[in-house]
Amino acid sequence: MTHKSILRLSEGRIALFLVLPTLIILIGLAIFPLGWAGALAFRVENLFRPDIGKWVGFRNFKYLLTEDTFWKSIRLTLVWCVCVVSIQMALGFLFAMMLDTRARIVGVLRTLIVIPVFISPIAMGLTWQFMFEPVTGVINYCLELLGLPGGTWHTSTDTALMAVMIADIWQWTPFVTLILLAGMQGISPEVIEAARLDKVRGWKYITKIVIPLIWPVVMVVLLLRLVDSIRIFDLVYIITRGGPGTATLVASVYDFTIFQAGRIGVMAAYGFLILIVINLVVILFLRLLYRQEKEARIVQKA
Amino acid sequence: MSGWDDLYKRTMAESKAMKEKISRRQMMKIMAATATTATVGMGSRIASADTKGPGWYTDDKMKGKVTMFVSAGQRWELPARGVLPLFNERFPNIEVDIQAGPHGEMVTKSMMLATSKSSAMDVLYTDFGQWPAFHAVNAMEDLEPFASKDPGWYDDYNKDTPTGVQYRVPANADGTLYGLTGDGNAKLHFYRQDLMHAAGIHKVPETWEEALEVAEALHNPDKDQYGFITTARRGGFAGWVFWGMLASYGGEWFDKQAEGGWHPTFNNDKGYKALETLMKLMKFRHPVTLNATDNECNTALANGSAVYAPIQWGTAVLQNPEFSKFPNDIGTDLVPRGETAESAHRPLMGGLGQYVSAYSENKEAAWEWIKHLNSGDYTDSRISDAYIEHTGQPARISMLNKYENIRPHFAGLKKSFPVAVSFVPLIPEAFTLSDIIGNEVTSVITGEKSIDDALKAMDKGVEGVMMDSGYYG
Amino acid sequence: MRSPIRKAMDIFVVFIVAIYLAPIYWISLTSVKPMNEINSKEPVWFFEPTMEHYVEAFERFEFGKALLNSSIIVFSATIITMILALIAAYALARMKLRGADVLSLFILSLRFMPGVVIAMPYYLMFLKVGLIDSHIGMIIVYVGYGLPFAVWIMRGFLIDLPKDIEEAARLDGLGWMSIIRRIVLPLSGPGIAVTAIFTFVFNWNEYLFALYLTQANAVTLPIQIAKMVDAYTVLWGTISASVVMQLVPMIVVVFLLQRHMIRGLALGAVK
Repeated sequence: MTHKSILRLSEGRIALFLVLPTLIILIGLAIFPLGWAGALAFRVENLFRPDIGKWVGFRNFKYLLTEDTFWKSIRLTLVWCVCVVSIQMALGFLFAMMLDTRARIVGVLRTLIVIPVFISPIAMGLTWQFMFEPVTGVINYCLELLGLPGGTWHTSTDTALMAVMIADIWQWTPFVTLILLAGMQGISPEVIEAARLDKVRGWKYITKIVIPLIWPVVMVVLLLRLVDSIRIFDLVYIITRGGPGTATLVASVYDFTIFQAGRIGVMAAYGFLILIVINLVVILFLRLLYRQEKEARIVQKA
Repeated sequence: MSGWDDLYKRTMAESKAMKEKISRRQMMKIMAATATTATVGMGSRIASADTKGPGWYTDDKMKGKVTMFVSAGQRWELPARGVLPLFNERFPNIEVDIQAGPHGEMVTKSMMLATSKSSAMDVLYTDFGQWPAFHAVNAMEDLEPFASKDPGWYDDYNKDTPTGVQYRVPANADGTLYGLTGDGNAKLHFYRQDLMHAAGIHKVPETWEEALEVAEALHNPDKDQYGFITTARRGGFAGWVFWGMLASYGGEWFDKQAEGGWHPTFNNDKGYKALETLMKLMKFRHPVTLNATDNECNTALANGSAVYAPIQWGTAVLQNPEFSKFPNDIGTDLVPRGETAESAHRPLMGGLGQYVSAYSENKEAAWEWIKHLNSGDYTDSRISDAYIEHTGQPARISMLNKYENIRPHFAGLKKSFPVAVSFVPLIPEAFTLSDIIGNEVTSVITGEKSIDDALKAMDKGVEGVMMDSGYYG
Repeated sequence: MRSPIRKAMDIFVVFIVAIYLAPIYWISLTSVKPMNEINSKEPVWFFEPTMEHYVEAFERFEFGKALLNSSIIVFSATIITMILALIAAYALARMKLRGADVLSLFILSLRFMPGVVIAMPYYLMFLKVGLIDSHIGMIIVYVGYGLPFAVWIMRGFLIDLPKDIEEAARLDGLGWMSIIRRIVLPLSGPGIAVTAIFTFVFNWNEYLFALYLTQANAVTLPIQIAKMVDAYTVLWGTISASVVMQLVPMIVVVFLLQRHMIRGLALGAVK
């Protein structure tokens, strides 16, 4: 009895002790800079005029909230997230299903298909820009060979977002595939054999056996992709810098262009507004997911 | 045989090599061969002191390390590296460390370096449009004490460098020198001579009306040939196209650039006319225009998919056979002017230069290095040769004259400099303001806003920034 | 043994992957193409290959140095992040800590700020302590920036581990360290692999912090690639060459890690 209670007494402390290094690092490297940025958000600060800084209350926030461009950037970011993440998840799942066999050639393909993940978005963004080029680019050239009309890709307001999305989906789908595939390979052969004997096949096999079994993995990937998509920067910045006009002006790119123009106060205020929006989205999303996960487990157990 | 004869021979070998489609390896061999003969030749000339100018001296007592930040790539990093061996010859005990940063982030990065009050950088090689901001944070060292020690050199620099890119505070001939601008550029008018002749146009357009006619005549999308291209990407890129056109219609950023003024003047007939003309030209635009920086424009012009760029930063790449398919067909001239009474040829002008950091711990050596970099023939004609050979684009009129044969767009620059205006108002907020007007311009081009709304928004945005900076008292 | 349908499927899969990787093929092709063939009105498929872009990447852009820098910084940062994250996540997931849920969500939320907003404070902080352009500085940045997410993912994996095994081990008298070493670590293999890959990829590709916090000593690959875009031209050939060169070691790493990860996940699926 006493032995156990001593253990209990110390558990919370040990836990705190274990979290402490992380917390200290985060206080220095995340909370402190955030506090700094937080102060900037209430100031006029120009990178090119450090001498004119002054406190202005909520003016930066008010300025942003009345700007059409701000709302457009929020809208674009959400659209981006929904489209990109859902397509990546679906396509990634499809690839994982395709590659989930034990044939030797597939083993090689599995390694090959993750290549895009490891190309720096800077280099890949430049390459996509080069390939998308509507007049001389290789993509339109190939489409024309196939007798299809070429597109305007990143150079027109109508198609720019789609073009950048294609680049992002191409780059990150293999990441989803890689992790889902690992999950699928973990399904024990007995389960697969049992399903085969019960004649559970095709769609039913996927929805009743595969998805429930790899659900925790699906959730992790989903969250990873969601958060990274919300913060998408390099690829869009390199391919379009938010243009043409404001057609691809997603949150992080907009914030960076504000910084490049030297308006540090507005940049910080924007950062905080984004922080709030993303937190809301993520919390909502987590709630939804955890509820579903619990349900899924109950179903699984039953 | 004069200096540029060698260089000319080498460049000709280069272009011949490309025409015969031999590999670059082979070409390098040819270049190396001509270079060897050139140095052999030079060796004899050094004996006769042929390349050295009146400003030549050496000093092996001066010691230390000079670290320089520079924008990566051609025109800035490469020429600096090109003239470095000769500097080492003159100052064997000064070590120069050239640290390049990505060109796209030069403005913010160098601003952060300048405000850091750190002695890590002795020299910053940056856009002189940023210098008012650097000066405002006291990052720049007063160069008069250094320059006045060598009056002959100083006099030569002053006479040879266009006043438009010289940086002095206050901005007049008697102002204090804070930086050396050996590099200059102007918005130029690039056209395809062959196609214009074929279309029966034998005169370079003078006005925007004529430019429109040329754009229309050359526009042939079915043959993948587009009649207009410019840098219309978000931000400053689009902003400077608009400001260039506005200037040609006689417009200005402000009612007056002095106390009591500083009120933006975009929302008027001139602003309207400039944007309207731009929109008319946009009818013939190459598809990448809306998203184009200078890179995209040059690529399109070099491969022939775009054939006319009446307002485009000057560059040697279009007439470089290694890059361009039409090195001999692309001509340069002054940017067109408006048709109204107040209109004139007023191309935009900019330049990059070096200043000595006020926090440097090795100012003497830093000064010698930037002086060397800006010397040209006054110190040694080999400096000019190396500068040009390594893609340099000088502001010195004597160098523009000397190398016009091998760098044809120097003729356009030479014509532009005397009538040019600065590409940004010379105040610290220049890049903030350029971003504001640029974004409004793109919103018009993409149809998000009407011309009137955009001009109003420009005035409002610029006024807001000027208000915060305390220009209105 | 294998049915013809299966074989047809395999061929189909190979075909799909080939299409998917077409851009890589194009990059490889560009990396050996002469400059003026790259910049042509119609794509050029046949040409005399050249290695000039590879030479240029090494000679002018110090590709070797950047690769070494990237490797040192990214590997160190990933390992440190993983160790710290594992410890913290274990405490947050498996131990009775009041407010663990709120704390982990709070830690996660620190990662949602656009990078540029905290790049400035980082720059000024590092300037004060003299960490600008140093490997250690970059490692610290990447640890600080990667940690919240690593903790969060690891916690997710650890929470899912069955509690009874650990309980049984504790009853057997095993201490904290042995429980972690003998039970938690092997069981959380897949979690560790996923988190490590994610952290690695993020750090490897990171651009903004590296841009402002490095200068010459500690420049990483993305910065060197960004330098290949100058004011007037983009050196497509050199960019392609550096992509190809950095892919080769990557593919080896992935190949090794992937086997590891799949084995780990198979273990984890015992539940």
